[in-house]
Amino acid sequence: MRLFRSEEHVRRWSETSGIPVGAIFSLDSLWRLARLWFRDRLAPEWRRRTLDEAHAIFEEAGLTGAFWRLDG
Amino acid sequence: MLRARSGGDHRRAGGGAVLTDLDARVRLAVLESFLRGERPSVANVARDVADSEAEVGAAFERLAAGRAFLLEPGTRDIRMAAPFSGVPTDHRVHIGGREYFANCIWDALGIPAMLAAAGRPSEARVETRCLDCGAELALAVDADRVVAESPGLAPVAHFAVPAAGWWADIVFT
Repeated sequence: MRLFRSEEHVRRWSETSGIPVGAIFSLDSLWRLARLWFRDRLAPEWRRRTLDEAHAIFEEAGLTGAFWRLDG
Repeated sequence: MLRARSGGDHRRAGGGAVLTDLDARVRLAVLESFLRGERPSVANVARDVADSEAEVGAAFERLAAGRAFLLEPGTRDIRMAAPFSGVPTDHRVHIGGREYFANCIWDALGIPAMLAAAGRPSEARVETRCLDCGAELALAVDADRVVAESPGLAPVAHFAVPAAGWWADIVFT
């Protein structure tokens, strides 16, 4: 996952690289995702999330749809 | 291109499985080693957890199989222990006078997010660059929010690969 100056820069990079545009979202959404995903990373009892748990985090961060399905 | 060693779906890769006591201690010791500004090795983690290099090396392998780590192919060198990168990247995170490398912009924000959740100092400056134009993009992060340092700039995040394909090549997502 990369940061771009703007959505226009994503689309220009896509045209230049030939790599299709995937999912574009705001800095606020990214921060929400990071806080949810990494909130337990320094906890001794951390374990890898189940699919359902991972999908619940994406949904809570406002990232929904087929793109965000780990079992797609 | 570095590809994940283990194929299969999220559940077969260990989703939901509770770590053994040693694996849990090794995982935490690796993260703490990165936080001290080191690149953790089997030898220094074995010292940190007071166990043998053979046992800790085996734990590295199990944690990689469970996707907690990504090892360099054919070695026990850590390429990724999210949110940290074991090699320099475009995503640099400055916290408390130390610089860390993250695997992607999600992980870059994950470092202060992880520290804040643990009640540790987490005010950060994140530096990366636009993949299109190469311009430096700097973010200021505190416990509540992240903002672009350049006034009027509203950078966006982009995931090129749908979630189901992330582990086909975890270095490129």
